[in-house]
Amino acid sequence: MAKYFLKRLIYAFFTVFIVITITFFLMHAIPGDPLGELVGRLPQSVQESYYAKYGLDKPVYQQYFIYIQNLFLRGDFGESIVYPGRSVNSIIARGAPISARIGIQGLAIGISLGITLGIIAAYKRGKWMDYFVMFVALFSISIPSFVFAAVLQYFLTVRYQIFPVTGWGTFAHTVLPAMAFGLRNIGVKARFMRSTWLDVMGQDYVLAAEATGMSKFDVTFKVILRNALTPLVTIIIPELAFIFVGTFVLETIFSIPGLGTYFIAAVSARDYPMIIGQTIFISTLYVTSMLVLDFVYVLIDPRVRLIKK
Amino acid sequence: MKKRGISWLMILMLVLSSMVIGLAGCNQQQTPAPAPPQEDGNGNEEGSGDSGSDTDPVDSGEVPDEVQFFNYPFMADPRNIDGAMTNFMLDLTIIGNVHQTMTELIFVDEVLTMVPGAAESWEISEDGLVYTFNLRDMNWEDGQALTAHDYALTLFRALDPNSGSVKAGDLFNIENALEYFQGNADKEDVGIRVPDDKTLEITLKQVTPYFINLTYAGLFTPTRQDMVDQYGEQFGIIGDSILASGPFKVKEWVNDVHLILEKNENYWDADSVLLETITFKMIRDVQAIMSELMNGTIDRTSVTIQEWRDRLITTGNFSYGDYVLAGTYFLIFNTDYEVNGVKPLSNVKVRQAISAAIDREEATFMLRGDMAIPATGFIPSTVGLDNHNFREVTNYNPIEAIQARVPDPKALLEEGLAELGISINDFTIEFLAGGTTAQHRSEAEFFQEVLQRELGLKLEITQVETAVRTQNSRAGDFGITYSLWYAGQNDPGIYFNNWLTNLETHSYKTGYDNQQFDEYVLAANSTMDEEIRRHNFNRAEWLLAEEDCIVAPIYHPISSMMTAKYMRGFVNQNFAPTAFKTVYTVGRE
Repeated sequence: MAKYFLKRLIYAFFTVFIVITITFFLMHAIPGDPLGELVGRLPQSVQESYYAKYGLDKPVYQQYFIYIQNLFLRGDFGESIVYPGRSVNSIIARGAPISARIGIQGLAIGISLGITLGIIAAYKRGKWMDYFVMFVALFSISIPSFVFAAVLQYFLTVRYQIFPVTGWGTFAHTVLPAMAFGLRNIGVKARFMRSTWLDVMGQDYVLAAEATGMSKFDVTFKVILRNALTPLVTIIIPELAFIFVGTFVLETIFSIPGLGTYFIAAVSARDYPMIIGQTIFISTLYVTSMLVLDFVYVLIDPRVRLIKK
Repeated sequence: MKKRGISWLMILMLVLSSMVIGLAGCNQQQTPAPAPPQEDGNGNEEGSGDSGSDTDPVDSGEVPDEVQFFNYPFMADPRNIDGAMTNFMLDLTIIGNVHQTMTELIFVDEVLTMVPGAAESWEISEDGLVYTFNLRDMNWEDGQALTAHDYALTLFRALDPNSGSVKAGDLFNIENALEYFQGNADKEDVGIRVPDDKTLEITLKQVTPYFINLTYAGLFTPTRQDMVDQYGEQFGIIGDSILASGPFKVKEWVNDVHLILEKNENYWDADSVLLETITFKMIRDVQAIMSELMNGTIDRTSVTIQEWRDRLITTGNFSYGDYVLAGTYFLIFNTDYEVNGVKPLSNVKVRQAISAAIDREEATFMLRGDMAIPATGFIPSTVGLDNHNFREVTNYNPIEAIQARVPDPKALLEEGLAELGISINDFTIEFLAGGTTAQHRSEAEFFQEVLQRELGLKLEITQVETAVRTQNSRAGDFGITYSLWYAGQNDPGIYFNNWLTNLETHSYKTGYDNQQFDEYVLAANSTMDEEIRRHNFNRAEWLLAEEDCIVAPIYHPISSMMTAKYMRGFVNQNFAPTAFKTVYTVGRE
């Protein structure tokens, strides 16, 4: 068991390493460089000193080794070029919790509402309630979150001035972006929950539980719910990595100082340290969540056994 | 898992119910009576900026509000509040409010005029080489005396080769500055001297007419050594490191959220400052800026999109002024552009035909609506020449001239192509669009259509990201491109620099090579004599936009300043960082 996880850990590490390498060379291969716009009209000598300051005067492979060295020896992601004096580490440390907060609140709305609606639809299968819930689910999946965000923003900040339009600092600032983010989740979770619930309801052990004379309440919450939630875990954990990136567009609409601002701007400005720093951050999160998922599987479902090849 | 799901559900229900309550308790925003749109300042070629409706005179008998604050949107976080380092407009706006520049540039009787700032007075020596600034008594926000050494420090920091400042190049005309930057001269040899605490003396190595224009910008703001020592790399990057010398000081800077300034009681002219707080809110979405303006959570913004301008005007809650900006949109022809073995744009008649074929009125209307005026020259109508308006004193319009000269563009084009020995069907010209937005696309398509219609000339549009475009235009990798230039200084010279022959790098590589042009520009740039400068700049513009026709000016953009009706006291500050020290409110609800 321990050996298995060690192996997985090493694989994960190499995955991230390969991602770093590919991203590094890929971003240097695309035309345009981060200083072009900034120093384009300056005398040659000034331009050169600028390129030298950021180490961009060296060949790409040398830049790569310097970067890898700084990363693994000191955990240093480097300094942003567009925002001089700000380290990528500090930008991620500041922005990630903010993006995560929107993501988690949105996910919470999506999961809680999605599960509830899914269960209702399963119980009222074939009735108008079922059709209604499935219609809402379809609706929420098909509308892009930024469209919903724009509608929310117009109605709840301009027409009715309930929430602030933009900004960050209070709970009120998080409500609309979280709702916009959560909307899509409602549909996804409701559909998923409905089908799982129906699946579990038809299982023999549910019939057996009913036969033992358990109350309907106990059957629902102790038997069906527990078994129906297990598969849900498998779709929620990988989403945890995406709570950081799923909010990017919303961050612009609501001017939230999260990671998205920097990521989008960094790509078009060719801010190399920012691009690669964030890529590492997000790929590491994703790989980690996959590791966690493997682990959780074993814990929650005794049927899953790890077989040695 | 079950419990958690249920508690989240409760929170959600709470949120939803509070929303419903909120909805019930909130009145619908009143639909304001539509006000007739004012035709205001569109044809304002004087560039007097805040025209009429925007600014009321201070002595109108109105009583300023008890509580004075002002909220202004920024579309991005400032980067570096350090006059020695930054070129970035948002940084300069903060600098203009927290620092006292050496001089100030404001409109006095509709003419941009330099007035005293930190310098009570200044003298320029007979030979035009030595500038002496006599400083007033003033203090830093912490009460320490401000001296000429603090101003000199900013200049030396910009010239420090280790700082990598993008501003260093502006100072290379100072005696030994370039040598110091390259490590070949000592600090003592540089022509920046402080004879006493109240005097700053700058010695230039050659006459530089535009040099005085630097004195109202970021480079001529003070820096204190102990702050630089204390904060090092973080100097100018975090709020605590910014020590104010101007009307406001930094209260709080939360990255990407807001930067709040409050009144600096130790400012030398603090008595005339009414505002207590200025909040710069970072709002990255244009639609959100409009929403906040409607809601009254910001008080002023510039609008460059016609639809919003018209919508805001109809609310009747805003006063507005249209400015002609100190910029020009223009086509650039690459004479070296080669297609199928020929260089169609190397022939001047081809270039002139293209420029003459474009109706500037049509282009302005189609691409900008009311948010631009047809170009009257390559140098924008707002740029001055030694305290006069450049366009007025030269009394020359290259666009009218070229259209009068070329009554039949198509015939001239045929003539030019015949000289090259090619036919119009032999080639298409690559048109490099200004960027990737929809606006850039419409611009490119407009020129494609017009040149096809008027001349039968075929363009092929290339649209790439800004970073790539910069590279392409520097490498001369385009046939025709469309560009916008703003001048950072109130001087025509800066517009001509790109077309000088012996540059290390051209922002736009066009292969233009005319010694006569270089001579005109250099002659104008190396004298203080207004008559000589006027003549030579006029000749240079004539060559560039008419005779050699390397550029075809199309229009000058307009910005509409939308300001809440209760705001007062804005002064138009073209070229200088925007300062809000004269601003106040009357009757804010």
